[in-house]
Amino acid sequence: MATTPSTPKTNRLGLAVLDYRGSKTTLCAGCGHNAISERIIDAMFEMGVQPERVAKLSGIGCSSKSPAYFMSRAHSFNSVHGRMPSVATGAVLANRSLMALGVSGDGDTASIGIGQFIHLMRRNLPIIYIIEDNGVYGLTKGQFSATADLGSTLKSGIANELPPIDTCELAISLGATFVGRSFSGDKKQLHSMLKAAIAHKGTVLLDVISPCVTFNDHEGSTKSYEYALDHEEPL
Amino acid sequence: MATTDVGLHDAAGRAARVPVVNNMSIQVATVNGSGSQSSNTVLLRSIFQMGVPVSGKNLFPSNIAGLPTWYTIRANKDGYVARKKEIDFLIAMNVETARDDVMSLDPGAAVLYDEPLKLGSLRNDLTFYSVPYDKLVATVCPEAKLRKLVKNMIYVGVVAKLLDIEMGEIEKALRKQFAKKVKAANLNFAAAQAGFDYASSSLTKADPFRIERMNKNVGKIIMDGNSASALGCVFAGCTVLSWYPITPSSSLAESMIEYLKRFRIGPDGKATFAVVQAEDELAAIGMVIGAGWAGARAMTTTSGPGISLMSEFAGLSYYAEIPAVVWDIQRVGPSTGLPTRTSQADILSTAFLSHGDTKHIMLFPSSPHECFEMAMDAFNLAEKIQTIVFVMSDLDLGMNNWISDPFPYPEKPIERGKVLTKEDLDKFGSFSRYKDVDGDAIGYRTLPGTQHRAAAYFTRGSGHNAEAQYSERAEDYEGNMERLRRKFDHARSLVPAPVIETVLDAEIGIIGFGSTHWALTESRDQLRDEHKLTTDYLRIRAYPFANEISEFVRSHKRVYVVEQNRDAQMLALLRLDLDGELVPKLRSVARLDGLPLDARSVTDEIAAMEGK
Repeated sequence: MATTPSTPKTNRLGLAVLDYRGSKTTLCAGCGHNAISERIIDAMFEMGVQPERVAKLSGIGCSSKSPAYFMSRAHSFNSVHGRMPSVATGAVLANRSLMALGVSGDGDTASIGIGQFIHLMRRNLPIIYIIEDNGVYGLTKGQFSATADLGSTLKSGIANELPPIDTCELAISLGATFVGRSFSGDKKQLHSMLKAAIAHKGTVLLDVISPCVTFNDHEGSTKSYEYALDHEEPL
Repeated sequence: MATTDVGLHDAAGRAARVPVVNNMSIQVATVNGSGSQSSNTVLLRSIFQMGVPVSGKNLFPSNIAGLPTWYTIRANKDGYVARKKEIDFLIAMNVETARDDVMSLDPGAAVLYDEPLKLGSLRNDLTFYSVPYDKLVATVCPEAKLRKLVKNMIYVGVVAKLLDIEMGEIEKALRKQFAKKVKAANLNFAAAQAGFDYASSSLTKADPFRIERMNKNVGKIIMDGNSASALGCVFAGCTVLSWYPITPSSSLAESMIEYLKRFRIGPDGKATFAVVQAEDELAAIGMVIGAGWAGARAMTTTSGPGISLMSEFAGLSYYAEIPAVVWDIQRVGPSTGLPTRTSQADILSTAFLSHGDTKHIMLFPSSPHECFEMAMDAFNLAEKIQTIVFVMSDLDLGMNNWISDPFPYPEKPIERGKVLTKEDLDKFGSFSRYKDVDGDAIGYRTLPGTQHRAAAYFTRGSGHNAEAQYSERAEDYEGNMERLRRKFDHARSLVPAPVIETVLDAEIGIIGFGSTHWALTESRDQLRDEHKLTTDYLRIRAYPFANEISEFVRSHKRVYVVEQNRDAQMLALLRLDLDGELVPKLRSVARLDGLPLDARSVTDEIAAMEGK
């Protein structure tokens, strides 16, 4: 083919990766969530998903802001705290040709949103549910969430006295049809998991450890880059 | 023996009273779970079939079995169908309440009781009939375990004889009630016949009450408001229903599911609708908003506690401008309150549901007919104005049986509001989601899935500008909120107008809304006939208030706002809306006993306030 070197690579729809980009991120530099947004862009591009077919949904929190930072050509709905599952459910019931991509955080899912999360897992609707899991409430400046590990500490040194909720274990026990856990720093693994998620028919839960560089990246945190790199066991 | 009782009262000269024809209130006092509902429906339908205007009201406990329940049937030749306070004919089946039920009757009433209750000696100013139910039921129902259910059909036969209700109509109503269950119908009819035969041979008519065939129900139907609402929603094109069970709204969802299964299956045999019994009311309204955002007509149905839980999402719908329809079948609050009693006490909390500056459209149906029609109004308004719309029904309207004209097939196409398609975008190139292009404060929206690269926009409950971008700028916020205010004002001219009835030279006005309409109609006649007090009447059908409401108040000296709550909520809402000079004209008649409103209470209160 007589292509010039400057012609961007296109997917099966003839779209370039640029067609999957979003607005500029307003999250902290180094935030794991930004890496996840990048992986979503790549996976959607490579899988040749029509952006207009996708509905992006989120709750409230840093993670839930991130749908603004990828796929501007897809409709997006930043709803209310912990209730994204119900809004996503309504959307896919209204239009069965939509692919719903839900982005939530650990507070949005495992604390305020645990009820809706549980019931979403039971229904197996075509929704990809990503938890950007950093164990901490970032937007309110660093309180523990319900996925924070027992004994892990806040920046101030305060230790968590409660056991964590394991969202993956919970999803499996509820009969979820696709459950995965990854790490925002593991580009390759997250990329393939997202592609598999896109190919799956039914609900997907991806719990992605995504360090909060501002409030939970210190010694004593079990959701820091260092801890994640040390403890990750890629399959 | 019953005959002895009757003989006593004959001696008191009571049988000589003037007959009271087609004007009575029959009350069946029983325990819930005893199967009396079928018997009561058969009685109600038989009277209906004889052409006499009739209504049925179930006063039931929040319980499945064993607590007192009263079912009141009112037959009235003049068409008054509101609850009547005074009971004329008591069917006392509940041993727990029988004594109190009898003692609370006005002199002249009649009592039909189960023989072992021995009520006949309680008072000498009533007519008593006793019936040996257990003996009678044993003869018609050999199977002992069924007797409890069949026993109640015996009083239907006894009452038919005593009140002159035709047995042919009883049989017709009974066979309709049991539909395909022929064996059950036969057994129950035998019980009714046994009651009729017993009354013929052993009871002597000594009360003045009679039913006589009329011709007032031609073409009419009997329906409860919740079924009518459900049918209306199906006709209005609602395809997504999410709900959480709560009395008294569950029957709306359940009837709707039946109608959807009957009328909304595609040619391929697949459902063209989706129903979710959600995990709670937050999820229920969340699904409605998600579906409304994605372009479906979606609704949920609930009652006060659910409304409270939906508060945050209501604000999202208002601020992000997403169509949604919520039915509030109001019951008595606050908190769990009296779950099986009726009220109109969610008015203020719903008008401003959620934090920040919010205002919501409310519709107030007063009959099954309006429940049906306002379903269409609600969906049209939600999509045209792009907001949440609440239909404020109540337990009395929703769960009780009402005579109604048949519902008209909708003549106008449904109105989907401002939605841009791919073709529109091809033409215009782009759009601004929250920009007031047409001067009506309503922007254009697109639906997810629209195959155009300019179709997408970002929906959020956080601050946004006309382009739907995140914004914390003061002028963006103020501009947006100001536009939302104008949008709400614009809705005044789009919502159902009030219904106004005027007479010549009336100085005082009555304002009502919802199911109390029927008591108010009767009360206005009582005020005119008993106190020479003529009144004009305005029935509010929606909030925001149409301009006619302020004009109505202006043109009367005093205006009574009648409602079923403690704090005069509708009056408070009017006070916020009306010119200050009009406010002193408003007077409150607010009642909160949890029972369907009766005319007498309103008449007495207004007459007293008018110095009569």
